[in-house]
Amino acid sequence: MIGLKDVWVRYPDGVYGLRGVDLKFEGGFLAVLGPNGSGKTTMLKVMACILKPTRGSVFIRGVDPWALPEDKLLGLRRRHIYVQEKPKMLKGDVLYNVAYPLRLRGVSRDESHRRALEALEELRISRLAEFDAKRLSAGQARLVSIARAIAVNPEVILFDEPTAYLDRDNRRLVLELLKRLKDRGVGLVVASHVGEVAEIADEAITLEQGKITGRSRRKGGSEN
Amino acid sequence: MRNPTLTVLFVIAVTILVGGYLIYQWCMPKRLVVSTTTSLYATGLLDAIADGFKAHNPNVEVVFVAVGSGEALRRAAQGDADLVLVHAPSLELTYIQKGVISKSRIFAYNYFLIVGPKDDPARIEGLDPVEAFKAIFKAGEEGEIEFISRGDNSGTHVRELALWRRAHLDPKGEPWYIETGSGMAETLRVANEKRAYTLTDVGTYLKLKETLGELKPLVKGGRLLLNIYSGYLVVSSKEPELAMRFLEYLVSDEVQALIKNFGVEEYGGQLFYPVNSTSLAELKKAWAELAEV
Amino acid sequence: MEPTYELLTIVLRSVSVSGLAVLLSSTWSIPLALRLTLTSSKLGKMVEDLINALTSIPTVVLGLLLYMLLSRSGPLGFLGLLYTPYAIVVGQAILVTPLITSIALTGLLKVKDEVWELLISLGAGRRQVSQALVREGLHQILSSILLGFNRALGELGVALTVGGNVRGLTRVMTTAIALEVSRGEYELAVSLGLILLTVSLALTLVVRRLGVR
Repeated sequence: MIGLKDVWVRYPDGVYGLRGVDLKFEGGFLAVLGPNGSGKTTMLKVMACILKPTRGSVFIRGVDPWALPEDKLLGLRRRHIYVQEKPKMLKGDVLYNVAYPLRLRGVSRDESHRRALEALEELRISRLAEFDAKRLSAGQARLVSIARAIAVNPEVILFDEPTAYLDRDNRRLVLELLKRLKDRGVGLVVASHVGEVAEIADEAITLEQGKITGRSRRKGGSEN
Repeated sequence: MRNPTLTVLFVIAVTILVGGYLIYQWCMPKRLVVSTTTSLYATGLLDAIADGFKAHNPNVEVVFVAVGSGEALRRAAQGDADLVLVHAPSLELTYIQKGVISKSRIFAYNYFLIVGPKDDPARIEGLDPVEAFKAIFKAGEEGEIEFISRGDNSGTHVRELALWRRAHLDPKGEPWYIETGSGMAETLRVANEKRAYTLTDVGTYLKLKETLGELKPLVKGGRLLLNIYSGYLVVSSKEPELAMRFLEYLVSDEVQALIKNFGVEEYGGQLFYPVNSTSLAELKKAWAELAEV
Repeated sequence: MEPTYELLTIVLRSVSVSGLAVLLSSTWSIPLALRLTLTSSKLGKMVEDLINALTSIPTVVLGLLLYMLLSRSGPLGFLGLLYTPYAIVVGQAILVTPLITSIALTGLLKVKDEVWELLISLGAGRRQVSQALVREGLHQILSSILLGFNRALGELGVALTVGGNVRGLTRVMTTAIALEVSRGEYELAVSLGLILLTVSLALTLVVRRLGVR
């Protein structure tokens, strides 16, 4: 589904984000583990096609997205959603924010509001619908950003530290949601520096200094 | 222009602009641009004359552009005026010879004054203007006084330079010779602050007299200090007929009466003198003489 | 004309002339700022530097250039714009273009830093990104327009040179002040100056408020 082949990312300030990563993601639940600064966020952005690698290539269903014309690239991008580590909000209320990606995809106003409310309900935060999105607490913003991602029913969601800033109850809520999404067949790539997501993942990789240093599969897999 | 809102805004703005311009053109079929010297305009005389002219010609907008005489003539040469009203005979002659202006009408006159500190350290009081300038130069060289010049190629400045030439002196660059590069009112204020000498038109001086406590008029009268205001038709004018009408209006009895009484009440002295058939011959002679210096 | 009435018309003329100028300028300055926000090419950088350099162009220099253009003997003389309010509108619109563009650009770049990645990851296309940037940066854009208005209102060189300070037609606050000073009537000049200062100050306060939110 998503393939990375010898991917290198070098930022303008000279720092390397990734140094030769090979990966095949065929759906299911992939946990990306590793300490802060190991390249998890960079890898997620490359997989979401919002960051172009400096070297190496990306394949989405066998196609190199960066060789595509702009409208085709946009179409590819819209099937995946990357959820930021520090979720940003647009001006307006929470409902506007959650409905926004649907509006981008041409969904009508009423329909997008209905689906946005459903997504908020799934995270049990529909009471926040009319809140000013810029005044949410970090935990609330996290939940809203997750709702914003699931509202569009993407094929793949790339979560960057989805349990950060959350209390114990909400962390459980999110982990359960991840399981539900997996059961619905949504591809999940979840970066985390804590191990709890690895417990429910099908597969886990460990990044260190921009390189994959460990891979494991839950069912019959072994470390290499 | 990818944003539709901005495109709409742009279209609206252009429509307003073009529409407004067309309406404006349509509403004002006749425009008479008069480039004029500041000293004439600043007294308010011209606005009074324009109001009278408009009463006779309601469909005409008289537009005064008040600048120094030099700039007024230059703008006429660029084709940006229908008429010029100026008071610098030597400059006027140049532009007549260049074929920029014609149909001279002398419509008013008054005098220049040499003003200076009350105690008159250069002792010029009552002298002939050329002698007075010589005395000022001498006192200046001795470091006793300063002279303030307009330095802006205005009619007053042109006259001042002519007087220096008459005296065969060139004060330019001397430490006591200060060029303000600004209008008469400012120049008089500078002279007042510095207790210095300067050449001024009588109108501006009378108007500001109350605030110029350090200064007093020292040299007045005489042909060399005669300040002659002439109007000209700009040859390239697109409204020559209308411009001619305005020019004739300037020398009409109506305007001449206005000039005679203008500002007398307010300033306690006549600002401008009207031109009649006897004074006209004399003025023409003086003009020719001044144009040559 | 009654003095207070004339004063009022001068103030109103100033506001409408400069307002129209800024409106006109915004129709190209804001799209230009948006365009520069979204580009990272070398040419874009050069344009940006040029605009920043032009923000401090002396108004008299611009006024003179425009005079040469609009003069009857100049290339645009046939328009008959010289000594009309439209000449001032066009001149001031050009004058404030670098200022509005550069302030709007700074604001929009900040907004872009904040939400660009979010917009892309949510699947916004090029055009949708522009729309969202305008929406998110509305305060910054408004600030730039108000500051442009402030500059247009307070400039003398363009209004005097191409407007000609014609009574009842192109006399605006700054040219009226200059004239009253040259007439030696400081009282009227001071009261006009105070009005100008008040308007400026009020606008600056509004801009600051916009910036805080």
